[in-house]
Formats: sequence, C-alpha cells, structure tokens
Amino acid sequence: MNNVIEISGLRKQYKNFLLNNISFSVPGGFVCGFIGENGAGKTTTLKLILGMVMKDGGSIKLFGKPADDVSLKEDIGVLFEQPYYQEDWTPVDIEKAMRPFYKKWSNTAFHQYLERFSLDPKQKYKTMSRGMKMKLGMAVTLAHDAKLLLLDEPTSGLDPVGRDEMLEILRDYMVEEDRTIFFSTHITSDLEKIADYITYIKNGRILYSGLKDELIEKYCLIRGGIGDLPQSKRKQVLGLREYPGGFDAMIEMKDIAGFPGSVITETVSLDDIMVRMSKEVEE
Amino acid sequence: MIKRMAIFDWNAMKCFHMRVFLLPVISLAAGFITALLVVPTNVFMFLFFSINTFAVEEKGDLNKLYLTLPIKRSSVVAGRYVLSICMGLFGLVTGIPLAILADRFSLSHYYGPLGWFLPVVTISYLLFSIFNLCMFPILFKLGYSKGKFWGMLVPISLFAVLYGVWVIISSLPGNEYLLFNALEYASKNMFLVNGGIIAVATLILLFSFFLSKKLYSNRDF
Repeated sequence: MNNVIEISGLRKQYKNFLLNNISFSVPGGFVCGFIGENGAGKTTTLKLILGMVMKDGGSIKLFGKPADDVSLKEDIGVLFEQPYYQEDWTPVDIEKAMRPFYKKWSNTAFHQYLERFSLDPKQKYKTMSRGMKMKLGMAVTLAHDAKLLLLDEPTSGLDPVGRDEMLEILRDYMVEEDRTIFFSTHITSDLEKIADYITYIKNGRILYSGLKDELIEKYCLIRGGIGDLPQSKRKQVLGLREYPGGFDAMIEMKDIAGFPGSVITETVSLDDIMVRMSKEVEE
Repeated sequence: MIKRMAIFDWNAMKCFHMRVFLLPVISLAAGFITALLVVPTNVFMFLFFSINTFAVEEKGDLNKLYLTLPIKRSSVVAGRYVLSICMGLFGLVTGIPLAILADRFSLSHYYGPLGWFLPVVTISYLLFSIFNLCMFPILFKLGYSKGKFWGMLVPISLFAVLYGVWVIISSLPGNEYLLFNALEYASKNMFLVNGGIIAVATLILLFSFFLSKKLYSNRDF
C-alpha cells in the first residue's frame, strides 16, 4: 500500500502554538480523518502540506515526492471551510480562471458537475449558500481529476441535509480507484460514516494514527455505581468522570477484566475517544 | 504560467474594471498646468490601478487559492509584475494622445519638437520603477491592509509632493525656461540621458522584482 502523504518530524513554531515534530502517513485509496479540537494544529498541518506556511523542520512527501514540487498540485484538490473565489465571480468565471492551470481540466466534466449539483453557471459566488459554495469547490476539484482531496472542515457550518449531501459527494468521489481523501474536522460523526483511517492531533502532537475501526475497537465505555471502580483500575481508565451516583470512563478492551458485574460496558464513538483522551492529556 | 497568473489577476479585478476609464480623466486634469505632466501621471495612475490586485487578493483570500494551484510562488510575483508593467505601458501609450489633447487647454503649451518628448517618456518609466519599488515589495510582504500605508498612501503622497514641487519650482521667476532647457539638453544628449534613465529604471524595477520575490517566498498565509 503506497502512502499518498508522508509526514515526518514536522515542526512549526508560532508565538502561542507549537506543532511538535509530528509524523504520520495517509495510505492511498482511503478516506483518512484528521481529528482534533479547534486550535489543535489541523489547519496548520494542512497549510504546511500545501506550502502556505513555511515549516521549521521535518519533511513532507506527497505521492512519494517532496511536497515543494508544485507540479504535484495538479493531482490535489483543496477545499477549506469555503473555497477562495472572488465574490463577483460566477462558475463560468471560475472555470475561465482555473482552467489554464490544470493540464487535465475538463470543461465537460465541470459543467456536468454543475448540473449534477444544481448550480447555475451564471450565479454570482457571493449569492450562493455555503452548501452551494462547497459543491462548486468540489466541481472544480473533480473537473481537474484530483487524486488527493485535502479538506479542512468542509462540513462545518452546513445544515444536516447539506452535510449529508457533501458526504454523499465524497463517497461518490471515492468510487474511482486511486483516490484519497484527507479530511480534517472536529465533527467526528461525519468521519464515522466515511473514514477508514484516523489521525488524532491534540495540542500540536499526534495521539493516534491508524485504522478507525482499530481505534474504536480498542476502547469501550464503562459505567458503574459508587464503589464499582476498584482502586487498582483507576490508573487504567481514561477520562474518568465521577458524580454522586457513580462514574463513567473509557478503558482499553484489554483492561476490561476485573470490574464487578454491575459495571455496564458500551461501545465508544470517535467523539467519546476525543473527549476522554483530551481530558486525560489535560489532566 | 506567468502570463496565466497575469490574466488571473486581471480577471480577479473584475469589480474594478470599469474604474479604469476614470484614469485618463485624472491624467487629463494633471495636464491643466502643462501637457508634459500627462504621460507621467497616466503611467502612475495605471501603476496605481494595478495595486488593486493586492486589494482583491486580500478580500477574496486569493493568496490561499494561488497556493493550491500548481504554480510556484515566484510565478505569482512575476505575474503581478507583468500585469503592472503592461498597465504601465498602456498608460504610456494612451498618455501620448492624451497629452496632445491636454495641450489644447493647458496653461503652458508645448512648442518643442517631437524628439523632446522622448525624455518625458523615459522619465515616466523611471517614475514607474521608483514607485513600483516603493509599493510592490511592501505589499507582497504585508498584504494590502497592513501594507497600504507605507506601500500605497506614502507613495501617492510622494507623487503628489513631487508634482507640487515641480509646479512651484517651474513657476518661480527665472525658471520659466527650466523645462525647456532640460528638454533641450536631453535632446542634445539623447543617448546619455535617455539611455541612462532607461538603464537606471530597469535596474530599479529588477531590484523591486527580486526583493518582492524574496519577501513573498517566505510569507505565511
């Protein structure tokens, strides 16, 4: 399996933030979710991948080549919270502006996607809803047949219907072979629907990078009453919450033995993992 | 890629396109004193108009869009310079008929031979380069919002001061033939004066370009 993105020892120092020697890779042909709270370093990492900010150390490889080779961007589609187009541009203007930069640009494909996404080619960008803007960004990305999609919070600010539509578009995108999505978000429920891999970043450090199912199967939630948490188990639980009636916490499956029968176990969601791990790191 | 970037920048300024028709009006107004001021003013106005690329770039976060495209940062800078030089050239070419038109109503008419007009053109090029150096590197480094004071308002004020100083000096008693004498000297030393001005202006423009390229290459977005 070839890695489409390989990041090694990446470092970026800001006044109040440090991206601290992060390393991870994104395998080709999969959807990889990049999760973390606001300010954890997701956007900074994406900007470093794209060369929007200068790295202080480490290396970034895209498709096996150093990321500073700009020709690699022929195969990359980028969507941040919303596409960066001029307010008074129409999709036709955007087509004219973007077409010359991509060898593989297809006008036919662009117009087909506009039609499929119900976008008027003559509607001004500023009059479009957020959902329409994102669809337009996807039409541009698909028109130049990008092999790698870098998405930064593409569903934030969309209503549930808009989010579902966006996820459907991403699912369709993945139907063709050799396509990869690196999807940064703090809305983890979206990733539960489509991601194969997860990279979790917290305060500029990578806490986990691997298969989503492995991560979810690795942990479970436990709930119990007062006195159901043995002293010996306290060190093994993550994100412990104690309240007058009992406790709840997350624990690795391998440590589940040793609790009284009254303790209830539940499967975890990515949200649970993020919240509990975050609590643990802070403590 | 450079040509594509220049065209991209021009298209990005779509909302400003109509304002381009105002520029000759301002240049004609500058010719009220003498028609010789029309060409430099027109060149400056078109250079100033090309600054709008920085304004729209910031408003639409275009820098981030540029960096998602398969182009080098240096092509972004080069494209902006090409657009600016094209606009300056357009200002120069359209400035000549405007100067002829302005001469009909200006206070001080131009009686010299056509050859005397060449230094006016080369000095316009020198002014273009100087103001380009004053504006572009700062705007490439800081962007429009942060850089517009030093990169736009100060150069405009400087241009206005230069214009005022010239008007005052040439109006002082004894200076009636100052411009006449300068143009006559330039026509007699055509190669030295015009060649020298063109060489200096080109060096300034090249310095401005390489400085902008250096500053933009390290900028974080």
